[in-house]
Amino acid sequence: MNLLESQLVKLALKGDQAAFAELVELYQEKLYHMAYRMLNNRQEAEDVVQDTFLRVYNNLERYDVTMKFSTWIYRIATNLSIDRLRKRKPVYSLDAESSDYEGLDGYSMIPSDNRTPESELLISETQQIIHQAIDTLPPKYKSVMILRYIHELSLQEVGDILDMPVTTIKTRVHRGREFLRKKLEHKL
Amino acid sequence: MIERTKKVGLAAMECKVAIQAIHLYLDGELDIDQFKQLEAHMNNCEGCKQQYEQLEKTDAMTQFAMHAPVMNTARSERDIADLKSSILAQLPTKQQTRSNARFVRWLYRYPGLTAAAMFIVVMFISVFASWDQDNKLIISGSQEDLQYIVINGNTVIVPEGSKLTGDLVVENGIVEVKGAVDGNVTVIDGKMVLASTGHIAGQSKIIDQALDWIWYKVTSSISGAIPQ
Repeated sequence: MNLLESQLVKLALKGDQAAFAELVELYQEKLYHMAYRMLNNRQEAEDVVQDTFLRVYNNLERYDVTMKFSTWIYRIATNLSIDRLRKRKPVYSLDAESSDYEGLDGYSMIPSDNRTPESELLISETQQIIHQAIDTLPPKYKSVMILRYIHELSLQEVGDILDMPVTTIKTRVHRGREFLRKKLEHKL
Repeated sequence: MIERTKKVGLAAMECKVAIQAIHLYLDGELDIDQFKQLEAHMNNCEGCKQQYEQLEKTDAMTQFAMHAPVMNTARSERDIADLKSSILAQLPTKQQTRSNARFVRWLYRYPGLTAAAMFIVVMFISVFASWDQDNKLIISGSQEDLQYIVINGNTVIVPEGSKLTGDLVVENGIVEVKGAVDGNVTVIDGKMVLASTGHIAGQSKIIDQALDWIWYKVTSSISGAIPQ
């Protein structure tokens, strides 16, 4: 149990906005990183981060102190990301404005929406291939794989976050790894 | 001797099991003995060895790719600060949400109590509403008796010389008893005038208090529910 985090939660519960701001500081990049890997879209990843903190704030009292704070906040963020991935499926026209997300059209759903020429150079081709492969993973494998690899969480922690037994997580990691192997087999 | 153990190990592990073992190894969940068994199998099985190499490579590259900072988003210090301030700006004022949440949570926690409280509230509202609303004159009694009764405005008169054999109940009216009544006379929310010639053999009751009235409703509906 992280003492600092539980302390911050307690303070935030008492209405201390500065303590909550501290939690935002601690987690926003981690959550953004995770959401971006899931959604591959900058705007949506930011939305997920915002929604996550809003939910955390509104449900602080419901936070179970026996659970790690990180587990709880990752759980909320992952669920929000998965929701978005599922909603996103039926996008047909790139020009049509998305019905789910105001002001977003098909172009903004394309992974490369905001790559600048300079940043393009920083990503190796191999990395791009891998990211493309990860992007094709079905959501249930994607969330497991991302959580497993992004912050090197243990299988137990991934299970806690997704609220699933470890055996299920293991199976999904194995299948996800197999899926990626097949995808990358001919490219690498 | 070495030949023999190798053969045993090979016989003990099928390719299916080997692939499973490879995954466990990559999860960091394979002990040394099991790993040696796996190695022994792979030394004799080109397919599994190839799969092992591919999976290990996939694993390493995935790890690497995931760990790489999110560069392609061109996320600057300013973006981070902007997101933070917009998050903090969005937060609702604490006081309101907390008291609401507490009340709602209480409702969730005690569904039985909530249902009981709801029931009582609805009961009282409906009972009081009907007590307050009715100001229509209602007369109930046996059919033969009612033909004698004279109604004048909101006054119900039992005329002189007539004789009611059953009970008489009048709501929202004045009862003037000039004749004789064998049964009970009950007046709800009204007055009773007993003339010198009048006679009531049974009980006469005047109910004009809410609680009396509820008590009357309850007892009469209970006695009505129980067949006599």
